[in-house]
Amino acid sequence: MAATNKVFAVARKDIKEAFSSKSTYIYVIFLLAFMLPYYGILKDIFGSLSKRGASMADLLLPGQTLSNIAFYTFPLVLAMLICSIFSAYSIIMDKTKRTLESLLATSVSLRQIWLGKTLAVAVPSIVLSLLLSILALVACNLIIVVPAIGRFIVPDSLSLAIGLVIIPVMTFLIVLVVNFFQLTMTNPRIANLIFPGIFIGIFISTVISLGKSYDFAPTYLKITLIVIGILIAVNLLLSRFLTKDRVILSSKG
Amino acid sequence: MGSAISLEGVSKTLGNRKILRDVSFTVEPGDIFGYLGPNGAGKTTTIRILLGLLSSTSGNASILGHNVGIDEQRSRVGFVLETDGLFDNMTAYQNIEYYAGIYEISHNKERIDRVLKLVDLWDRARDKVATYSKGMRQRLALARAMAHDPEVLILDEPTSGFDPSGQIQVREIILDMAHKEGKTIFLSSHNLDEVQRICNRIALINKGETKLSGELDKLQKERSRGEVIVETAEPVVESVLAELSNLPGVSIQNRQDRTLTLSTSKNTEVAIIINFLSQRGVMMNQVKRKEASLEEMYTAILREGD
Repeated sequence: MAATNKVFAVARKDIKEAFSSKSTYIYVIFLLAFMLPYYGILKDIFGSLSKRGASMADLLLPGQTLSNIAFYTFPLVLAMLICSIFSAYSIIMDKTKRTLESLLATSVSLRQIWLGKTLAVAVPSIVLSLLLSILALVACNLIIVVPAIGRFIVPDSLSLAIGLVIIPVMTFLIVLVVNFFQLTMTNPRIANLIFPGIFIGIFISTVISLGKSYDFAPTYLKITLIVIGILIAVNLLLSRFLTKDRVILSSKG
Repeated sequence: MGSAISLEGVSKTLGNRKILRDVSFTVEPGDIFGYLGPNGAGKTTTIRILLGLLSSTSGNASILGHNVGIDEQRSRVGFVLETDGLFDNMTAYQNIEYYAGIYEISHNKERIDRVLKLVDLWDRARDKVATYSKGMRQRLALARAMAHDPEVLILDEPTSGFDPSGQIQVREIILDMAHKEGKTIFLSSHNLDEVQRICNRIALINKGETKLSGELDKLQKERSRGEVIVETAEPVVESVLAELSNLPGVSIQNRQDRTLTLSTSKNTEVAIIINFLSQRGVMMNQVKRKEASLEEMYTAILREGD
């Protein structure tokens, strides 16, 4: 219990610091722009189908497909972008301002710090990315779907499970890896590039898959589960190399 | 009761560089221990080892009888590092509150108020640290070090870069911590005058090796060059001076009005000189053996190292 409290104390400070900055809010609002491709594709499909006099059932299928794809892909895309922001208020800032050494000299273990810093980045990123994804889903339903077919389209259970469970777990594990490198690298900003790197890869593939309107949830689930397995193994391996010597000697001064 | 801090043959190698070589010293409970050495001598590395930030390549380091590598034991240790480690965007209160959370201090509000009052920052507790002067930051760092009521305080150059009034203020806080709060203080410093004033035990390190360690008083006596100062009521007559210089192991080094500086061998007792002069009717105001100053010891040892 005591160990958990220390982890949360580390995480709470970084989260508070990130939310006390205006730039965090501006960035989150800016992220809503990444929902536009989804909105555009949905509008185009519904518009062209309506012109051709499609029935409600004809509109329901592409709507459902898009809704599913969006819900299991966008949270990860957004989470990666949000992680890069929250990460700047965590280890990067601690190393730049040389406050990490003081934290390491307390009774908190290095693994507790690693976990706390990971929670500080992963938890708000996951929560915000899910909120933004749900917000976008509701907005698209209200603006496009409901006027066309008269009801809401909710993602199917598999998509919901991937979006609400699998993606958060994967995000947490990715942050854990990035934080290991941030703790042990002289320039932690380089490790932070992993987030936009993953973002670009997933964003492009997401937009492509949205354009094709092909629901690949089972394949996506398999891939994400394999990735999660790999990330767990990588983190277990990395944890063996995490020492205070490495962290201190990689810090300036 | 065991030592508060103990280093036994601690060495640290980084790459091909030997930063510390067989460093040993002990700090007893209640000591104000001065850790001296020039830049690059290995002081910060020693402190990092004591705080579990770096592991030693060989040897044993312990605080309050426990290996320094045990994380939980550091709840009994407070510290001020070279960089204060304070968060600029947070208030003084929030800074201490954060560490109080880390150390899981119960009734932390009372404790935070108490340490802020101790360093005279209570009235500025709600101000952001970014608005603080260097002296205020250092006092806040001291308050943070005290927040969890540790038994041992490790302070790395706590007055470096301060003006004299700032130095005095921090020095008074350190003395209060030691004498009123009963803490053991490990103080790394460049300021020899400060160490001489407040420390009872020292260690001197140069090029990663302990050159000297022990109680300051004893070391000063041991290292004295055998000078005895005699202050007399009237100037001493020539005949007495001639006789005095014939005493075995005594020679007159300097003579200034009513003050005589005698050079004596280490085994010449001051009592012999007092007896000799009083038998010849010389009235003495004061006779004292001149102890080596810390500065003299420091420069002599560094010269030996070169």
